[in-house]
Amino acid sequence: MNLFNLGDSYSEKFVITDDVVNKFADFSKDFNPLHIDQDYAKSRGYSRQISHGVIQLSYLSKIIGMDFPGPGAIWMNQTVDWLIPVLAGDTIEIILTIKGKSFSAKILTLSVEIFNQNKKKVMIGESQVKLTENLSSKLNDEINKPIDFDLSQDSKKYLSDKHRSTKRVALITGSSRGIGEAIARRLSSNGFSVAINYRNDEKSAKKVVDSINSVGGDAILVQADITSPNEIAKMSKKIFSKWGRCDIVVHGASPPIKPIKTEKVRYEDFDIYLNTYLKGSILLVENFSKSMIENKFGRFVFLGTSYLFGTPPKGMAAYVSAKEALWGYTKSLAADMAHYGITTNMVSPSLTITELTSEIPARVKEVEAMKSPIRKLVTAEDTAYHVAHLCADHSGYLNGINLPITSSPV
Amino acid sequence: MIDDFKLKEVISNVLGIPTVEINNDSSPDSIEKWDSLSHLKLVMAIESEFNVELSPEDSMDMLSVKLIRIILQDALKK
Repeated sequence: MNLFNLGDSYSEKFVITDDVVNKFADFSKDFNPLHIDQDYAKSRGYSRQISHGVIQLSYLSKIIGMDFPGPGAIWMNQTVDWLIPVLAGDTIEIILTIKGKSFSAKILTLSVEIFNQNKKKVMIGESQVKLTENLSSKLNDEINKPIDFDLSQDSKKYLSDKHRSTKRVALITGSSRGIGEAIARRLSSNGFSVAINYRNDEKSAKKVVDSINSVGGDAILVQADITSPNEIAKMSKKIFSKWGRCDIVVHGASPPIKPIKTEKVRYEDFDIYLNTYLKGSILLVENFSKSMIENKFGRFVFLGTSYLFGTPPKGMAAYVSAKEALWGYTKSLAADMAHYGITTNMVSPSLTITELTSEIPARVKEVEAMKSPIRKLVTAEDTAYHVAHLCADHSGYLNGINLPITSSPV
Repeated sequence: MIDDFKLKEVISNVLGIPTVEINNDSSPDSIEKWDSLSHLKLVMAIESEFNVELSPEDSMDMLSVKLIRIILQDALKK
């Protein structure tokens, strides 16, 4: 498509015959003898009768409406300065040049010059022309200009996590066991430094730290009850003094999950989950987002549950409600923090066999497995793999999603 | 404890397959004859052979031999 560019011009020649002049006089009823009576014109010092100046504008009208800009153009405004008369029999050349354009207003400003056959300028002026839809698309060269994506530059931005000069630092809450532990191990093997958070089970957490460090990883032990502002502040101090940064926070800590009959559930039961999931997340964001904003990079990943999709199972009102609240917070963070380079996502596995789910009856687990299309329960390692994916530098465009790890459509 | 030998016999009779082809992981995935109609026959046969009463939910959850054993065991305790 030819776009309208500044400096583009159009020209066309017209012969102003006696016939044209007489027809215009008939049409307009302007029978001024200067226009139609050659002798009279001569008596006033002109070699031939003078053509009506508006005839030039008529041809200008034809150009604007038919050729330049063309059909769909609306002539809004015109200045006219006639410099010398055009006589019957003269040939005029009309030259239009684009001297201004507004994409927002969809208006072209055109300079108009008209010359006679002796190259004398007979008229100058300026037109303003509004462009309707079919024409205005030719205006937006800046917008339609093909963007030169330099993919090589782009891919350089995403250094593989293993080959960064500075390691990314990740805090994984509740990583002394279960899914949290699997995530910590996966992130470590992907080249991240990891802070292993636990609340009570120091022995298990220390085992995780030791085993990560024994295979060349970089792990430290950080104790904190995720519901306690003081303990989280203390934990963040420890992480910042060790590495000076924290790029990734994965919140997987959870109280044991056990069904409570909905008619017996109390608000206090909700509080247990809300404290860890929602309050815990808010405290984590409070303590760690500042450093992410400074570094223009951050990842929050919250553990959700497949129970957020479709009909939840019986007796899970407190658990499901609290995870749903966390999902609301996830979406809000995703909307608010993305421009800092911080993504926020949720990962929602279906029932996983860990200590956390030890109070869920075997029958429920077995039914869940047999009802899944691949007839197996999801493993902690499955979830860890996808959490690591969301934490990677290259996942900056995945934001505000709740990733189902369910082996089935949700 | 449930009599696994007896359970296998029941399944074998209802589905018309040899007992050696039945194991803990057997399910409608692996036994072609275990369709929705024979499933109902199977549930009724289990109820009468083991003298238990199963709920519609129990029937729906009996998605494998393993699950039949879990559910039957719970039902026999009641």
